[in-house]
Amino acid sequence: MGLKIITITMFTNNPFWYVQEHRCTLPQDEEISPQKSRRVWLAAVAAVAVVAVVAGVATWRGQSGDDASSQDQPRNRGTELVVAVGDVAGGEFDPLKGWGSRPAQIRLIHSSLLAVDKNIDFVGDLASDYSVSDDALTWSFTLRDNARWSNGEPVTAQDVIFTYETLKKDGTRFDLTFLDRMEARDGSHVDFHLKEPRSTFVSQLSDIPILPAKHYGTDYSANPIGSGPYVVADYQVGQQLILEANPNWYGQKPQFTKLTFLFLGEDAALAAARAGTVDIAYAPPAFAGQRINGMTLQSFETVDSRALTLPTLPAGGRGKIRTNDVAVGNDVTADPAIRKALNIGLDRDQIAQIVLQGHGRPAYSLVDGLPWFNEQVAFEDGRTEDAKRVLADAGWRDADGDGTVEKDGRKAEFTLLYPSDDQLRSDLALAVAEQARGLGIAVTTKGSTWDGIYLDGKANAVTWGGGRHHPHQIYEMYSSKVIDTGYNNMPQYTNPTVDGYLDQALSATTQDKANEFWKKAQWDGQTGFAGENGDASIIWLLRLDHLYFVRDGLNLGEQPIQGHGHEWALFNTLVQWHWTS
Amino acid sequence: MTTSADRKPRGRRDLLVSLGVVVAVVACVVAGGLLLDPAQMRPSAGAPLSPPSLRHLFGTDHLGRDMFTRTVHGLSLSLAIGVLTAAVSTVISAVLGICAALFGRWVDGLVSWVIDLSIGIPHLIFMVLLAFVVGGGIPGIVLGIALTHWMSLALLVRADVRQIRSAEFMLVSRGLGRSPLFIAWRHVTPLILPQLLVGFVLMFPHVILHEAALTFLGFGFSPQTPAIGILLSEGMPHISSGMWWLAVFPGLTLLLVVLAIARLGDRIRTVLDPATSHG
Repeated sequence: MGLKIITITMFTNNPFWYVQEHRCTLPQDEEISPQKSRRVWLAAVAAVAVVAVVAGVATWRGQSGDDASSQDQPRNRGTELVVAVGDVAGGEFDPLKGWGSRPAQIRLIHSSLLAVDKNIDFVGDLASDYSVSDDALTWSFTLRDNARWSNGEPVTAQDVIFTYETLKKDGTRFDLTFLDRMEARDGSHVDFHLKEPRSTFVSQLSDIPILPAKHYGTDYSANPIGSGPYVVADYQVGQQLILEANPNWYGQKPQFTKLTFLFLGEDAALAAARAGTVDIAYAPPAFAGQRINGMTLQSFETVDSRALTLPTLPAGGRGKIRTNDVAVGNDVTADPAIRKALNIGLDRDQIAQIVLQGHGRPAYSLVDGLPWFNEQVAFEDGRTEDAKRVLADAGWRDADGDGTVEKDGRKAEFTLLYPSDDQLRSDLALAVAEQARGLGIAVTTKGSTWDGIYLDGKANAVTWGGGRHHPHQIYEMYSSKVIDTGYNNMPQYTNPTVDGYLDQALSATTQDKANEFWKKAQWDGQTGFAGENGDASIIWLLRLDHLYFVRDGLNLGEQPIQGHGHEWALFNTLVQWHWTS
Repeated sequence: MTTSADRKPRGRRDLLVSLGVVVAVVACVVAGGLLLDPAQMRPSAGAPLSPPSLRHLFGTDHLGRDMFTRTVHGLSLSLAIGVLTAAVSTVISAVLGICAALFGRWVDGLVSWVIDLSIGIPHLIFMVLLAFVVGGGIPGIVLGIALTHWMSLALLVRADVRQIRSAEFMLVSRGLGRSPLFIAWRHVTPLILPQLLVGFVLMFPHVILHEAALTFLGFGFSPQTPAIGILLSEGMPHISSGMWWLAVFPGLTLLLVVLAIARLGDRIRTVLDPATSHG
């Protein structure tokens, strides 16, 4: 800290510092100058000493754990919990502002028609039952009869229709373009008529919070009436959110009557956990080695995956990202041998070890571990020699002995873009470049902003990411029909067989049938976008684990594999949470 | 201490000592930048987050990169940028200061106006704006810093030249029909060179600190460049979790380099300034 203070003092004095120094050079001041600089040295040495002591103490505490301070902490707080899981800000409580765009975000104060269970099956939440017609164009829902808003009024079919009409008209927060119209058969039955089959409609059905038609307005954020297990008692932007149990909640009563969210940064959350003021604190992998008395590090498998997108077309084309006209294609990554060599040559375990300190696992597709994951696409990787053979067979050889292979005078080199403010992707890019060098492929890493990446991302490799509790991202990342829309299918990948499976998956009438086609799109025995012999337009590398320090004795229920984002992912199972001792 | 005869050699000796320290530091940094194995800056060069040891003098970061190598590379980058930007700033100061003093009233008015304007904008904000407009990277940093540090030196140069302007040899030269450019180059520049040298050396530590500040704030290099500011911003969040070496050593070395050079600047001034040199 001492360093920072000195630096800042120099900055604030800055414009005049230089001038003042010169004004001091009058003869009568000549003895002052050396003394002053001696004082500066003394101050600097003192500051260094302070920093060293503080740092030493911090190290000692970090390594030994603070025994003294946590002895007299309460083992639990009864029916109240304080959690620090990051800043949960963004679209507060109103789907028109984006509430519901992150997995499990709505589960506390809202309910939705469907929800995911611990096996990632879509089950009824507000809807007690639902069915899909044979042409997959009509979805019928029966609402549960005991659902109440937090003010005691019943939740009706009109509320459901109001919610979806409002969001469809808005059109920016949730994709409901495939939705034709809705009708209420009576107070508790709703039919959704679709323009085209969409088996992934379940994702919107489980993400969109149902709003009260009578009480929804521009001030809804300040007074969010919902039908979830909790109601908002207090919300201070950037500081805290306090939730209290909703007496009218239709489901299993949660054990905790009050939840306090503290919006703390990573290091502040760790400090709060040390001080015993929070029961759950999130932790980045770098903090995972810390030991805190009375708390245990819990690690949860997630679908939050990271990958490289590799342009599949040769350079020279043009395409669109959102509204921008951009260059498309890369002569090196367009060669399937390059993509395959990277796919089988990169060592995913080692990458996870380097960038996540082991708190992650290899990924072979966008959807590892989910019901629509095809287990045939996992394979043994890190096979440097096989990768080199693939390159050699395709004509890539290192003729000039510089460690990088060439073919027809072109070196196997490309640029890998990553967002500079994202530590994980930045580290990932570095680790990939390092391993690719061993295969004879020169990868240059380049930090950029997302805006910059969207402009250059179709002609270069990008550190990409994804992971949802629904398979629609597969369609967005691999179907040739969505090329040039949004930032879908960045590599401009086209495979007619894969396209066929993807369309069949979308128009399936049950989730089981849809899953079958999602799996075939990954690998059907002959072709596919994933797997050892797949097209590898996107090379999936790792899935991160979510890490939390949790007070001993607090049971977090049977967590499903968690969705993207550590802020809300834990709360799918909130009603099951309880103290075990 | 008491007589001027004592002071003179002491001033010289101090200067030599300071100069020796700076030369040694710079030589170490440059040699380190050239000799240290860049492989130490790759991921998994050592165990991640290991504290300082004989193998890794400054410890390692979360990817296992050697912090000593990264710090030395960061310092040599800082020094290179420092020399470049301080030189550019000094040239700008000299040109504008001389122009203001020699080339008539309206040039003086214009230059003074520009100086007042630039000096009035908060320093760091001005730099961030410039770096942002240029688009980050080395050009952004060099321009951002070079264009914000010349003002005070320009004011001093202007004042000095105004003094020289009325000297007799200047009047004679002008009377002989010499052009203002000739006078500026042949008569004025040699006389203000010592002032410029002091200004350059004193600007140097300042410029280095600002380079670190800009990169700390994320307006400089891409995050994999081993610049001191980036090392500091990477290390700050880890101080509270006990990994103090990530921020302390880069900060400490930066502080030492900056103090050494600032000291040198002070001593050069003491020796060169007629008011204090007694020589």
